[in-house]
Amino acid sequence: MWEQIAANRRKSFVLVMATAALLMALGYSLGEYFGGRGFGWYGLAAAAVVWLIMTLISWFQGDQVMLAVSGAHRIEKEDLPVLFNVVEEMTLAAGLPQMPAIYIIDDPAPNAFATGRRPETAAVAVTSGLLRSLTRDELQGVIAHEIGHIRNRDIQLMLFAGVLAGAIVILAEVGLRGMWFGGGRSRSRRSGGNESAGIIAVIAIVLAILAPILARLIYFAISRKREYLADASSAVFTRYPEGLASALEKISASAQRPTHATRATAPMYIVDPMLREGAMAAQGSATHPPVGQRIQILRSMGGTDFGAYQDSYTLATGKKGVLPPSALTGDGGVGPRTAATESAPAGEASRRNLARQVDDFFYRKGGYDRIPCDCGTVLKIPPDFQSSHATCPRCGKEHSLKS
Amino acid sequence: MKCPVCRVPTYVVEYKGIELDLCPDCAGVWFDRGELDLLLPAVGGAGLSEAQTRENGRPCPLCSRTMAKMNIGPGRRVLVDDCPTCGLWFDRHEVEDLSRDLVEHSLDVDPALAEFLGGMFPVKGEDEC
Amino acid sequence: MLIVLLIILGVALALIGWFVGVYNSLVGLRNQVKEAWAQVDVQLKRRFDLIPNLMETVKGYMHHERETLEAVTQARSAIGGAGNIPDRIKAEGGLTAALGRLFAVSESYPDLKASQNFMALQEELTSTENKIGFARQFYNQTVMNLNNKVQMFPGNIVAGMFNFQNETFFEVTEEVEREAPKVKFD
Repeated sequence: MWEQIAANRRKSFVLVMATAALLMALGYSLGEYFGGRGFGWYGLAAAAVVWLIMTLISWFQGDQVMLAVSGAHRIEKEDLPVLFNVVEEMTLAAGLPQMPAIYIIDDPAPNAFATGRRPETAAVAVTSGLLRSLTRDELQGVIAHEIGHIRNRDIQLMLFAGVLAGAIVILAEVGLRGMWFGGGRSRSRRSGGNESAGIIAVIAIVLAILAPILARLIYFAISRKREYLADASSAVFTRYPEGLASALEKISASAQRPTHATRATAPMYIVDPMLREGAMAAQGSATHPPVGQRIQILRSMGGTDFGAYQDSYTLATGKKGVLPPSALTGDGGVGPRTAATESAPAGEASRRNLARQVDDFFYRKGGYDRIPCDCGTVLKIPPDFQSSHATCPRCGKEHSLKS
Repeated sequence: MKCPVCRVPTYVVEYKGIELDLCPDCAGVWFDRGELDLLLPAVGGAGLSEAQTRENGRPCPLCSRTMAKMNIGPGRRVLVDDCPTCGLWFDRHEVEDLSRDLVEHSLDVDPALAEFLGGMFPVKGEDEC
Repeated sequence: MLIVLLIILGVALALIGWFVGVYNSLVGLRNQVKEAWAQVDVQLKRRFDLIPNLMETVKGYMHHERETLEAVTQARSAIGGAGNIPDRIKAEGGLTAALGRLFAVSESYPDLKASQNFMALQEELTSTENKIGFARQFYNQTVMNLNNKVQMFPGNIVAGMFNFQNETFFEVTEEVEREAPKVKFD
C-alpha cells in the first residue's frame, strides 16, 4: 500500500506539473504580449508570484476556513461515542499515525468531508443529517472513504492543484480583459510588420482562452481519480464494500443539499453537494464520478482488495486502470469480513442509537435540561421553556423545574 | 421548537430510543421525519392519504411552511398535519386514536414501535399488561 | 589501468549503496511491524481492562449463565500466562470466542439489553473487538511486507546476513469464532 501511495503521488505530480507548466507558459506569453519582446520572463515571474501568494494563503488558512465556513463543532469521545469509535477503527485499519480530529456540522443534508494538509493535522467532518440516516456499518464505509483521502494525501494534492488552476483562471481573466481594452505594445509592433510579435499575440490569446479550460479539466480528472481511489481504500479498510455502497445510495437519494457548501468546497465532499438528485445519478459531476456507477463498482467487487476493485471498475466502465498497477500488489492476506455484519434490525437499531447520540449532543449544546423519569422515559427541557413543570406522558408524573 | 397551535416552546420525551416533542399546554405531539420511518411502514402503504376537511393547515414548527391535512392509519379516521420534509403533528388524543386503530385492524407493528406506543399512549378501555 | 580501477570502484560503491538500501528498508519494515503490533496490543489491553466492568454489570441479570461467565474470566486470566506473541494470539482468540458467546446469550435477557450501562459497555467492547480486528488487519499487512522482503531474492541475502526473521501473522482460528452459541432457556 505504501508503493501505491507513492505511485499515485508520482502520477498526480506529473499532472500538477503540467498545470504548473501551463501557468508559466501563460505568464510568459502574456508578458511578451503586453511588455514586448524580452518581457516574457517578467510575465512568468508575475505568474509565479500570484501562484505563490495564493498557495501561502490557502496553506495557512485552508483547514480553518473550511471548517469555519461549514459551521463545524469539534467533538470528543464522550459527545458521540459511536462516531468516535468508528473513526478510531478506521484510523487503525489505515495505519494512520494519529487519529484525525472529528467535527460535526448541524445540517440535515447527509454528507462528509476530510480536510488537513498532513495526516498528522487532518480532520474529518460529518453532517448531523449523515449521522441520523446511516447505520453503523454505513457510517464506517463513509469514514473509511474520508480516511482514505487522508491516507492517500488527497487533500494536500487537491489544494495544490486547486490553487494552480485558480491562479491560471485569474491570470487568463486579467490578460483577456487587458487585451479587450487594448493594452500591450505588440499592437504597435504589429503595425511595424513584426511577424514574431503577431505570432506571440495569437499564442497569448489562444493560451488565455484555453488554459483555464485545460486547467479545470486536469483538476477534475485528478479529483475523480481520487474519489475512485478513496472508494477502493474504503472497501479495503472495512473489508465490507456494501457499507459504503448503501451509504452512497442513501446520501444521493436525499433531496437536501448542504446549506453551507459552495462551489469552492464542493470537491471536498463525499458526494458532490452542488448537484440535484436526478442529474447526479445520471452523469456525476465535474469533481465526482456518477454515484450510481460508484455503487455498482462497489457492489460487484469479487473480494475486498484493490485488485477486486480494479476488476469491478473495468467491468462497469469498460476502461482499464483506475488504480495504479502497484496498488494491485503487496496487498491481501485478509479476506472479506465474515463476522459482525449487521442484520437489518440490528442496522436499524444502530442507526437509532447514533441518531439519539447526535440529538443529545445538540441538546447539550443548546442548554437543554435532562430529567430522567422513574418510569423509564427521559424528559429534555429547552432553556426557553415557559411552564414551571413538565408532565411525563407515560406515567403522568409532574416534574417541577428549577427555573 | 414551538408548538404550531399554542406557539409555546415544546419539550422532548425519549422512551425506548424513540423521541417525541410535546406541547405543555395543548398536549399535542410532534413526530420527526426520522421517527416516522418507523411509524409509516407500520400503518400500511404510504400511510397517509389526502383528507377532506375544511380545517386550515398550520405552519410546520420547523420550516414554517404550511402543513397538509392528512388521514393516517388503516381506518383513515385520524387527522394529522403533515410536513413532507420535517414530520407529523398529532393533536391531543390523536396518537391514542391511531394506536386503537392499529389494534383494531390487528396490523403487524414493529415491536419497538408497539412497545413505545403502548407504553406512552396506552389504549384506554383495554387491559394493560 | 586507471579505468579498470575506476570501474571496480564504481561497481563496489554501487553494491554497497544497494546493500545499505536493502538493509535500511528491512529495518524500516521491521519497525513498521513493531508499531503495528503495538497498536494491536493497546486494543487488546483495553479489552482486558473492560472485562471486570462487564462482569460486574452482567452478574446482576444473568443468573443462569455461570458457565459462560466463568469461561470469560478464565479466558481472560489465560492471557496473563501467555509469554510470546504466538501464545498470546491463541489466548486472545479464546477470549474473543468466550465474549462472543456471552453477547449471544445476553440476547435472551431483555432487561440487561435495555440497561444503559450495558448498552454503553457493549458498544465499547464491540468497538474494541473491531479495533482489534482492524489493527490486526494492518499488522498482518506489515508482516507480509516484511516476510516477502525477507524471503525473496535478493532481499533474502541481506536478511540472512543480519538475521532478519519472518514474523508471525495474527490469524483468528475461525472454528472457535463460528461455534454456535448455546442458549439456555430455564
